[in-house]
Amino acid sequence: MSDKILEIKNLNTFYGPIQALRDVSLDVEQGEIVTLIGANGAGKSTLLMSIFGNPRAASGEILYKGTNLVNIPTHKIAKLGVAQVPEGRRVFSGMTVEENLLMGATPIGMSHADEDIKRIYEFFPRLLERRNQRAVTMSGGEQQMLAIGRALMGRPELLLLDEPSLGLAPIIVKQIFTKLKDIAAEGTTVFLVEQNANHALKLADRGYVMVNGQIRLTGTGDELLANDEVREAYLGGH
Amino acid sequence: MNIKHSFLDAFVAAILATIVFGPIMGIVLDGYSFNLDVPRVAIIVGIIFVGRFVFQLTISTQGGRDFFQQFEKGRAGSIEVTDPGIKTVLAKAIPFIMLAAAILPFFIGKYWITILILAYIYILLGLGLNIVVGLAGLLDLGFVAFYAIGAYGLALGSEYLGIGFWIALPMSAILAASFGAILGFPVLRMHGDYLAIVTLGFGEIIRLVLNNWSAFTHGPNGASAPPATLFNLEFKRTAAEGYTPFHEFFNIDYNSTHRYIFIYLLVLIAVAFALRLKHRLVKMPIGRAWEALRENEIACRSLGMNHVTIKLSAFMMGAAIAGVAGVFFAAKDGFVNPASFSFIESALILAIVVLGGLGSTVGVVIAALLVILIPEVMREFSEYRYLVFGLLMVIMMIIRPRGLITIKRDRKFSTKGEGAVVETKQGEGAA
Repeated sequence: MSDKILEIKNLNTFYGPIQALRDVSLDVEQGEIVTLIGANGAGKSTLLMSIFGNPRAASGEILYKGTNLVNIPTHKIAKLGVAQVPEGRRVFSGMTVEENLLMGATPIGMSHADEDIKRIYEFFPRLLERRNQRAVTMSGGEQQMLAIGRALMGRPELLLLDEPSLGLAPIIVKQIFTKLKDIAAEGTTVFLVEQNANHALKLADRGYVMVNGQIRLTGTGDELLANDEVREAYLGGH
Repeated sequence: MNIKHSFLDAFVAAILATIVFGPIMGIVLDGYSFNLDVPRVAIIVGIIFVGRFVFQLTISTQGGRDFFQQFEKGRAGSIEVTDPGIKTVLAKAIPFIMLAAAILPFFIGKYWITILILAYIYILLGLGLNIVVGLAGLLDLGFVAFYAIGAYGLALGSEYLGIGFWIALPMSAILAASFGAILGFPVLRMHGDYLAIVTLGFGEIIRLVLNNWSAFTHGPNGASAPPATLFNLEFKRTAAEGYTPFHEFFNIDYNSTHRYIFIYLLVLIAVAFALRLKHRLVKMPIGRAWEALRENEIACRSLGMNHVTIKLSAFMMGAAIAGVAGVFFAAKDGFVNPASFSFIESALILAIVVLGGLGSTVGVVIAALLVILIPEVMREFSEYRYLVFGLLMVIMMIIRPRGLITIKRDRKFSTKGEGAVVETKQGEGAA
């Protein structure tokens, strides 16, 4: 085994009769930031959801540290050290910030919860200010911080993020992405699905481009940023 | 003031009222023919016209608008978060309330005792359904099924297995919980409306089985249930062979009220226990998991929560409480019959939960008392009492759309103290 933390081989996923992913193969190495970019409906989110077994992959392998996740129940996958920040944040809106974070500790139990909550508050001071506030009363950027903080509460080795820039002001996106860099620097591998190709590719070590459920291109972030096809399609090219 | 607009609006309302009430109230059957009762319709339509006119005039003034606006505020996300460690007035008053409730039956007649027993049973039911609907967000329209299972657990259990009240109490709870699991499995993937329909069906199935399986349940004739005993002392004038009646043991005169006072106290203890249970549960991981499931199932699953166990536990916990309520109901009446477990009961319990405020414990208690006591207090309105009752509910939902008592959240950290330190560090993560 190499030090690949996530390796996806020939993954096919269907929604009923519709094939959403076609023979997708990609890998993520330990400590890397890898991004998957693509247009709306390309299958990016489906790929992230498939890693968590919902929908289940019809064929292919999803190897996390050598373990095939394809047949493992969703709730057990989180316990293996994979955390997901779902699309649209999906914070528990009626619960307070602190409760949201506590929920994040579910995969590893509450023994480290107090210590980890302090760490998250240091990382996102904004959340500390809002700790007793209900999540729904916060701005989109704060909710995104909360969703990321909640995922980090499970002490994941691999953090999956589904469009963290969705619906956020450019300046907030920048802040969030800076934080993602910090998270990776502390040793958590980050796999990021984004439509905001520009930001994502600048941040990422490597990137994949997905079109119609297939991987079209791959390369380092800078290579893809320079690629004509990518510029044309996702960066509003010149 | 826009009198012309208000008048037109009221006029439209009056026409609608004529269409709705005209056939219902205006046509009176008389044998095979019918008479038209115009004045009756005219009165109703007149009331609606005047009422609508006044309402329109009121909201066309600034003061009136402000008055109605204050109700709107409660609608959108106004859940308060209270500081921990602060004992509310209520928390301090609880021992006194319980004490007052415990000595109350010695001062009121048998009639009011039985009504209060019923009200307490509905508090239990409300608390049970509150876990399912209020906390876990699973809309259950067939909750009465578990109530029926508990009641029949005592009645049939004593008939076929010879068990008494005290064994039936835990047994019915377990039985109801198992049925909760049976209902829970097929509905795991369902939400909202679909879930409501399936649970509605489940409630009806249980009632129909009880009604039609005559060989086992005695069908519509019902089954008798043994009354509660105190350490084998029976609350009867003459006890069965080998038993001593309560009044002989304590050497007091026989009084049929004793039996009801006894059940009253038992239900009161059960209510206190259920309140405590609910209070603890919401602070435990399982309680948080229920709420998280209600808020967002996908996020729950991505955090490694098993939605199957969470949903099933909510169904089972709610069902068990309803089962206990059922045993009390059967023991109170000494008789059960499928007619007591119709859909309207489920609707009533749901009304208690919604009126009280979803997820709110105190709200459920108050709402259960109101829902059971108001129709009794209004006996003098005789057949109109349910109309008045319905009106009260409608008004109530307009005035307090989030229920009588809006749920509050308290958390383990104070906003003072540690939180205040951050003020100086502000700006770093500003969003």
